[in-house]
Amino acid sequence: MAETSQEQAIGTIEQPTPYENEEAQAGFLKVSAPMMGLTWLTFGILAFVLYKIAWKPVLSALDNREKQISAALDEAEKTREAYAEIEQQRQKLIDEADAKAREIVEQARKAAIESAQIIEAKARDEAGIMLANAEREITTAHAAALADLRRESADLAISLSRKILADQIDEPRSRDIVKRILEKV
Amino acid sequence: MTGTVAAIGAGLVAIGAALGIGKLAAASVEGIARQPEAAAKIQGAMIITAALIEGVALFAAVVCLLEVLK
Amino acid sequence: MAAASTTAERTQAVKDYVFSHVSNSDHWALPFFDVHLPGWLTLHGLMLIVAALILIALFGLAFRRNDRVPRGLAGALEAIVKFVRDNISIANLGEEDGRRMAPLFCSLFFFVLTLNLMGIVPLFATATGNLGVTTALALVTLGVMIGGAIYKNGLIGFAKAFVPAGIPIPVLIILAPIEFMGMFIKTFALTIRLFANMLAGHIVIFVLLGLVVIFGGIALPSVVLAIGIDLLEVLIAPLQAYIFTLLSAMFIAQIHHPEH
Repeated sequence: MAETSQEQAIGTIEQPTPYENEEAQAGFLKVSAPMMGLTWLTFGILAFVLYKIAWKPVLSALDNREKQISAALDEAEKTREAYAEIEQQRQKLIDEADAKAREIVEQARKAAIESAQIIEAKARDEAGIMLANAEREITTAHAAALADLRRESADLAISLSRKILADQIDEPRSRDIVKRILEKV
Repeated sequence: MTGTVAAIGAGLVAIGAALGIGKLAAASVEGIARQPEAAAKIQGAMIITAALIEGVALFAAVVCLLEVLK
Repeated sequence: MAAASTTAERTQAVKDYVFSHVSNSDHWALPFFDVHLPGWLTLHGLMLIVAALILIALFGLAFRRNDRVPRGLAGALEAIVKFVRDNISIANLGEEDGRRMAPLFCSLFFFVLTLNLMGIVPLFATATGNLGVTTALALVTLGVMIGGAIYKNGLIGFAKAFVPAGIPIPVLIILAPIEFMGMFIKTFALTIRLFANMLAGHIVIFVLLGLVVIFGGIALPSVVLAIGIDLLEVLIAPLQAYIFTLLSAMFIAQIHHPEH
């Protein structure tokens, strides 16, 4: 009924009649069945079309992206862990190599000290031997020299005394005297 | 005359809604002041509740309108 | 209303203009010509269809390319869709049902939002300021409430939603019908909330502007107020769409999962 009255009022739109206004005023608190039907129809079609062109692709894209993001995060976490492991291994290798090198150096040092000690001991021994030899030689030479000196002095004494005694005594007597002297010496 | 009564009704509704929204706002601001990190959540809840109170007020306003236009 | 002279007459004229403006009509007043609309369509019906076409065109254009990462318009729309799915659907209905029913709430939200926003745009009318439209939309929610609950929990499970556990029988006799009535009251409240919000905003704007017509230049500051209210409407349009969708989701969740 609102429609008929409004249709009548079409001609006088510029200046609405009181009648038309009353209809309009009553109208906006009324629930009209065609309006509801139209709303359902429009909403139904809209929901269907939007489901096809928007919600389905958008929501699935959102889901996919969420999955991808969480997958990527997992991947990153895994990579990080793997990297950490590699890093650890690398560190271990470095530590091992370091320890080995230190060991080698230590061994070399020990060997050097040992050989030095050996060489020193050897040198000391040789020196000792040489010293002993020298001492022995000196002793020998000393003894020889003493013997020499004794014989020389004896000879000298003999020849001297012979010369002296030649004038004073004969040979047998002088020999006795010498003999006595020698025994004293 | 009905228009006048309806206007008084609308005024009463306005008082009620104002009281409601005032209490709501006071509590929300206090909440935000206490926990500034929860401001976003409190604001969201505040807006929703404010809209609900507003809905009641408007519901009454429509009833008043109905009276005016009778 | 042009020829009115006394204040009372001018007031009546403004009142007439305001109510005829927010009411449904059978013609669409464009700047240079007046489009007559058939009785089954009416102005608000046309707005529904225009809103639907705008939405279809918008989403059709935005998502015509299937980018891996959406940009621009598609990104913005997708953010809203995600918001509706996460904060309205999943937040109320749980992970599984929330994901399944997200399309419905997205449709509801965008439809109501577009209708609300069209009300602020000049030349368009507010279809959500029509009681028939909001009733129909709220009945969609009611339909999903009842139909979904019966589909999910069966007829007995649906009936159990009105019988809270652990309450003595004498109380139940009173409580169960109230709970049952509550379902319709919720739907009714949903209807009125959206309708009244959209209608009241427009009435306030027009009345504030009408004050200038009634009282002349002395009432010019009310234009500033009207602009303020208009800006508020821009905020209220998405807010009411959000509230409508959120409450729909809450009511549906309440009846689908009565144990909560």
